[in-house]
Amino acid sequence: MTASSVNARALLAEVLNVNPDAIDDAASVGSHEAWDSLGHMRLVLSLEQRLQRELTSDEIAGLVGLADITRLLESHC
Amino acid sequence: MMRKRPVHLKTERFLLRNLAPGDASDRYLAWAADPDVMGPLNVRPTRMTRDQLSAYISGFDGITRFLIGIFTRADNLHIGFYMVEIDAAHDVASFNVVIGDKAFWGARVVGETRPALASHFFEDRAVEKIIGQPLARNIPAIFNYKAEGWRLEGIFKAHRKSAANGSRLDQMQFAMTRDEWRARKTVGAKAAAGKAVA
Repeated sequence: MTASSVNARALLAEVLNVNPDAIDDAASVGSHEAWDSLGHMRLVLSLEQRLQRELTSDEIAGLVGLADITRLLESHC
Repeated sequence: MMRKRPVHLKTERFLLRNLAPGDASDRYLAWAADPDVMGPLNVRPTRMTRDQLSAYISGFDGITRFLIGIFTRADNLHIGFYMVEIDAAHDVASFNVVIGDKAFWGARVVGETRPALASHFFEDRAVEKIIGQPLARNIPAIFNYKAEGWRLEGIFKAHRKSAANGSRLDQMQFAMTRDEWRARKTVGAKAAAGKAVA
């Protein structure tokens, strides 16, 4: 498990207001009860704060699962 | 020839029906004037009178243009609406949705109601394809399309001019064909049957 994947899980847990242990590797939009539209909004804003830039439309379109969050955080390293 | 038939659908928590001029209310007027509600749609907030809103509602013919209210079944509270327009030459419908009552944001209203509306237009009105075109920064709308399994057909770069400041905005197009819809329903039914016997 990389530092980025740990950070991604922690970030997702924070915006969804759940325990990180409640988020498995396959967590994605539509599959996790706590991941709703407002949580998704908080996720995008939180990512943009970390990356210090706005996400592109392609990045927003591709943001569907924990792996995508990890990839975005890795791109910032 | 298409004829006028009312929409009247029930989901677990909500009722969907055509709006009538009498549905022009202070609540509805407040949504039209609220930048938080109208901003994500790239519509400038507008202060209207009840008569103006009634006239706007009357402009939907219920044949190719529909304004469909979302009401709670528990207390008949009007919380939002769908605007549906059908291109009859191609049997393609476009959906737009507004949840005006902020107390219902994040309450999975769209996830519960849009499948019922899509089913109605696919199966009862012979629509072959439905599209939705949210702005790329309308994050809750994009979430809903993805969560419901709609297919992203494309991202139109700098396709719209911002009503707020004139900047260029990207727009996405999500879609579902009737065949895709039926295939999803079949998969869902099989999964449910599998769970029932497991």
